[in-house]
Amino acid sequence: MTGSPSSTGADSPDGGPVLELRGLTKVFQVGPTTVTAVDQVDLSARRGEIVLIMGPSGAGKTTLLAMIGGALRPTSGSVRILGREITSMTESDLTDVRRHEVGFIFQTFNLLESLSALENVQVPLNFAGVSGSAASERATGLLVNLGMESRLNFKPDELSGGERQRVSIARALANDPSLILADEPTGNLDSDQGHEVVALLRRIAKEQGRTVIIVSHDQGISEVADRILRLRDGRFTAPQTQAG
Amino acid sequence: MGSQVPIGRRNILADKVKFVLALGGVTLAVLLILVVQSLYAGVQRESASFIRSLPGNVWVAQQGVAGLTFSNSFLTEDHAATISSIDGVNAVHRLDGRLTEFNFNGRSVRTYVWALTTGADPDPGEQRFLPQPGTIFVDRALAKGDGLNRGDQLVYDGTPFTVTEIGNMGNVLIAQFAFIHPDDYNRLLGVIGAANFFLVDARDDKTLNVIEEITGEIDGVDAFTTEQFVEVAEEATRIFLPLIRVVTVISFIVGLALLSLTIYSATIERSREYAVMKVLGASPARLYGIVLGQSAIITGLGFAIGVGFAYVFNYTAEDFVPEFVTFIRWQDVLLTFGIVAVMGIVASFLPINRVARVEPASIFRA
Repeated sequence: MTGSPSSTGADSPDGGPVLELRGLTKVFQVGPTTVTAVDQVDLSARRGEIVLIMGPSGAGKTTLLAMIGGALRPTSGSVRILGREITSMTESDLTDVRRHEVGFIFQTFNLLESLSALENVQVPLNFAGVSGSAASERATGLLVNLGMESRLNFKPDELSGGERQRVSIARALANDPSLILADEPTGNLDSDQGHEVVALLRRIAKEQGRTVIIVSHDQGISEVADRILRLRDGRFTAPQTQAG
Repeated sequence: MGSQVPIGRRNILADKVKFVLALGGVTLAVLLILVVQSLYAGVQRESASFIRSLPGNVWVAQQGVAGLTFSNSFLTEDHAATISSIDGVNAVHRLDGRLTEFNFNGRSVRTYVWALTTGADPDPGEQRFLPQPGTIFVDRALAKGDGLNRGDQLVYDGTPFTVTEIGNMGNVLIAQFAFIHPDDYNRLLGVIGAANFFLVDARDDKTLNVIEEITGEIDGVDAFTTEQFVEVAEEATRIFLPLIRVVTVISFIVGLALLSLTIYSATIERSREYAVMKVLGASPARLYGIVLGQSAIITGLGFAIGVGFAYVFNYTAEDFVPEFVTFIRWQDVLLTFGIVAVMGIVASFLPINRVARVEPASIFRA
């Protein structure tokens, strides 16, 4: 593997990194063909760090992100979040990790269309057992903090792309996760909205101390990333680039 | 623990057309099931009410007779004397009846005609079954259905009968009752030497002895207390059960089909959202709860509206179809609720299976 484990930062309860990948591999069987989407990837990310993973389409970025988030089981290797190995967890424990430790941000926002902005942010809180006024207050606070106070009761189709992404970010922060995974977060936004979202992600990482892993084609994000990793054919191709 | 975001409700209400279609299907199913059940219960109630309103507390019928109107009972009229001689018998009344077609202004009026011959002075309550010779008391539903009024003349075999009373004589859906004088009945409709039923007025403390003596002394007869005969008559109405079952099954299938299609398509259309919820940490139980919740909303609302419609239908149906005699029993409402609940659960099977198979990783593909 040519990836670049971080050598700094140790913020999990036992002093280790927030995220640590070791030999992470995913092989798909497509008919008679075996496709290695992610091949022996190692990565380590510390608290408050922004890691940008770039690469061409089909490089394995999204597969890597899905495995980090516990949404896809790897063929081999390990994923540790706050020191806990998640690849061997039961489905129920994995759901619990996604619920509490990981926040997700998507290119297509993936908001629930029949719910308002406020309700969309309340949903993961409900899943974590927080409901009623506690969930409502927490969701309102997150949305207000992201400048969405006048859009709380708007449905996703009544919001602009930038506003939807802010709702998505608020939703990702709802359960106070240590790790934020963003899949092409600026992919569906114009450049102004894109800059706004990138600035928000930096704020989240630096002010709130969350680790942010971003997968993107967008060169504009590189200016806020602490490290840029390039993925090609499932492998990191060059030593890490330190930004800024 | 406070309230949660009602995802199922929001989803199902998002597509109004589908929601209304499924709601309509369940409502229709509930309405049909309850209406046929209420017709069945109505017939049973009317039949029981008719039997209880006649004099006597022991019914004597030909052995094996099933009820009032669904089979013929033939007894020898001489049995009356035998029954009268039994200890504990105060009086023996005779009830004869048959389905008869009258002529009314060139039209045919079909009714089940009865004649009550009392074996003692009738009490005031029994007077409503005792018209004068040449007159006829007809049931309200018959009068309404055939446009009969007091003073109208029904003709049988050249003999006119003047309608002098219109009331609750008896209505068992397939036949409405009328009463004529026993002399008229015997002359025009009776079978010489034969009677249909004997209604025995036995002393309360001797009722069971009287029944035993009647069946012991007279061959080929059955004797029942009034309530036992009510049960016999109810048994006879079971001929309606196959029809009720068919209507219930058809209603179930219609309701289930519309409900299933709606819930399934709502789930398919939102399968990506179910994947999102899985990624956000929804437990399988929570996701299945969303699907079941959608089903419960439609079935619950459909049930409530259907029950309401059934009451309105039953209340107004008699205006349009006077023969309709309906009675909504709480047991039937409960049964319908059970049927609708099963409908909701069955309709959720496929969507739940679909949700279970949704891959959370699928949302990472744009």
